[in-house]
Amino acid sequence: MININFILESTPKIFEAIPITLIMAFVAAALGWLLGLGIALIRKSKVPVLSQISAVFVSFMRGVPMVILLYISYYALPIMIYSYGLSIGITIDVNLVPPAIYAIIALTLDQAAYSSEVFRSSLDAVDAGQMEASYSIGMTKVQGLFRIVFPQSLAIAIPNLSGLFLGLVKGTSLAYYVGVYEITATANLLAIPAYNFIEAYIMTTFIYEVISFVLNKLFLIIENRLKKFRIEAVLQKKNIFEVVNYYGIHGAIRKHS
Amino acid sequence: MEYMVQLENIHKSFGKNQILKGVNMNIRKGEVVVILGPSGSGKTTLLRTINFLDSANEGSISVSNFKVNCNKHSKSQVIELRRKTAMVFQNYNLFQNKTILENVMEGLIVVKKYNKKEAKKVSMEILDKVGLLERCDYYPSQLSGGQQQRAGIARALIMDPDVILFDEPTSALDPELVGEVLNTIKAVSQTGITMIVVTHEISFAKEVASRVVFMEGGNIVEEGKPTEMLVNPKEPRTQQFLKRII
Amino acid sequence: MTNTFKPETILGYIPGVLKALPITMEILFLSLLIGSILGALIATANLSNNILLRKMSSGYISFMRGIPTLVLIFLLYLGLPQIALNIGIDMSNINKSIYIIACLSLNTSANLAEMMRSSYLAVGKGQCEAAYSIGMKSFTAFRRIVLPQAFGIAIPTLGNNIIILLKDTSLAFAIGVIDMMGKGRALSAASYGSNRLEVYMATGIIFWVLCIILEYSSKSAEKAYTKGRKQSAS
Repeated sequence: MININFILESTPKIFEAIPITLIMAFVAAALGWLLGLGIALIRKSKVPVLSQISAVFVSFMRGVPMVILLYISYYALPIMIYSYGLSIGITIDVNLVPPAIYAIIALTLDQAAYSSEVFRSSLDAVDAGQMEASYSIGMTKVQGLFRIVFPQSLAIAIPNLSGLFLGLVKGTSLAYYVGVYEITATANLLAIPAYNFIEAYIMTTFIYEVISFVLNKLFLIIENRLKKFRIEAVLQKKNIFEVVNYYGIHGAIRKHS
Repeated sequence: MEYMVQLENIHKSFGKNQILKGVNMNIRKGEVVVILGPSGSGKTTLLRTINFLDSANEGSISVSNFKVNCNKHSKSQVIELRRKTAMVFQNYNLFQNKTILENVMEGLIVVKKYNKKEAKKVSMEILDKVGLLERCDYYPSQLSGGQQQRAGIARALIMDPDVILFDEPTSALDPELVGEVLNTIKAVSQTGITMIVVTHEISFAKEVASRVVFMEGGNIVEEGKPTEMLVNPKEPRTQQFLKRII
Repeated sequence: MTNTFKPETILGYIPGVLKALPITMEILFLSLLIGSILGALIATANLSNNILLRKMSSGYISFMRGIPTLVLIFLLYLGLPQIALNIGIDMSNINKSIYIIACLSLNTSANLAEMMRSSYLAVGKGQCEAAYSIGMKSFTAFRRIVLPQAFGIAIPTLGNNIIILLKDTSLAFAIGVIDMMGKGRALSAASYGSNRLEVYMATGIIFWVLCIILEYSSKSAEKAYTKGRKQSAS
């Protein structure tokens, strides 16, 4: 009832799709989290106009399902790119843009919104006294932020960023709908001719589970490295209580006071 | 007359709440000024305005002839002023992501641009003085409050400031740890450095202070030598406060 | 390529997409209901003293965390009937919505179980001990002391989980259920895709508004529920 031959034949082909899944995830996380940190700082320092725009952006990204974001990115960006090309006098063939780019852009914006919330709460979780102490020995704001506050808040943010990243990897499966041949799409494509869906999806599930497992372990190692200075007592004192989910994964921090 | 610290007409309010109502103070080099007063009297705020952790709304602050106008100052002036002062916090505020040694070295490396080797050597000497040499590789969260506060004092001391500000340095400590910190502060005071200490420890004030200032309601009510002020205060408000606290 | 995007027509598509709101809501409510029941069972297993139960529930939660919802939908909708057929069960008559509700229930149950577990743990041992000290039985202590506090703590997370679930309902279109997303696709197919961007934006706006309403309700619920009580800090 399970076609072993199909599994043996298609496994290498599905494996070939793992890199595109991971590339989308890593690029979207790298760009998205940087943007997210920017948004968090803008909202924390209450920059006029920009912080209101950021708040609306975050709310929008939180409210709209990923599939719709992907479609909007997939259909709207070519028009924008094309019109921009015309405005500077060149005709751009938007069909040459690989669809993965649209997926990465949608995923990046999504990560920016969610990670900005993570960064915001992790920055709040660093005691205000840390910045004051930096000032008191004559550091500038930038020095205090980069040497003292950011390292501490990163250690606090890591479990949540880990959750975001695992959610992101899962989210890349939706790139299927904008024509990216990542893991899910490849499996589907291979399964269709002979209706080998159960085989294809058991394999897909297995691959995603292994990726999640490995990433989870990786993040745990990073977390332990980063928070070597925080013993249990400190964790409790900060009243951090992680619960919120993202794509079904542990997400943002909530502070109870 | 040369003063190390000169505060002129310092006003500070948070919203409608007026905390400091025009405080004037002149402190000579080497003086140890202890500020006493009930909570809410503005003594901690006064200390924080000297370091610009809170910037005053009005008045001027000068430290070793470097004068900053409180309602008109540049960022670089604030940094300059902060580099002449150092602060010891009530809650220690040690950098949580750095070891005790790194905490002390941080200012030398980032602000004074020492190289690492040199910074380490000087830091170890200071840590030895405050009795934390064996703990230098510990993180703050692994130390007792008293040890953390001594590290905080070392971190302030190493910047070689013109004046050290102590903001209730023993209030957050368990009673049995107060002594070690007060002894460290006493030792620091004997080096001749200018100090302003906000505290509730009357006996410490008696022993160490060269001058005691009593504040209430955002004003200085009375000041004088500890032997006079603490034994025979003139103002009724000071008398009341001392009666309650002793 | 020409620019056919007409932003002024976006709002006009909203009523059409909204016709499928009842389907989306039905999927949402049923998944939430079934997911909560499942989640409560899993959370109880996870907090029990039985090692086997604990391992099984943790395994379930981590499995659900690892699998993309879309893959779970395909696995159940495309794969399961294939296996069932082999052992002589015909699943082809089952309504597609049932598959979606099953998938989303399974998925959200893991999140809800985690939420229940951490809220329970956040209440703190002292509360239970205090209840025992005045002679309460353990179930009474749970029902009267721990549960009300844990619920207050869980409200924001619950709100977030419902929002995630709402967004996940949009995957129902993947197997041809006409939920709001499916309706949007149908509307765009009817015009040969010429208005697809406008339709998807309209659908996105509806989801956004629903999400804002949910967020607002969750905040008000939290405020109303925790009014006058101090929230327990872990």
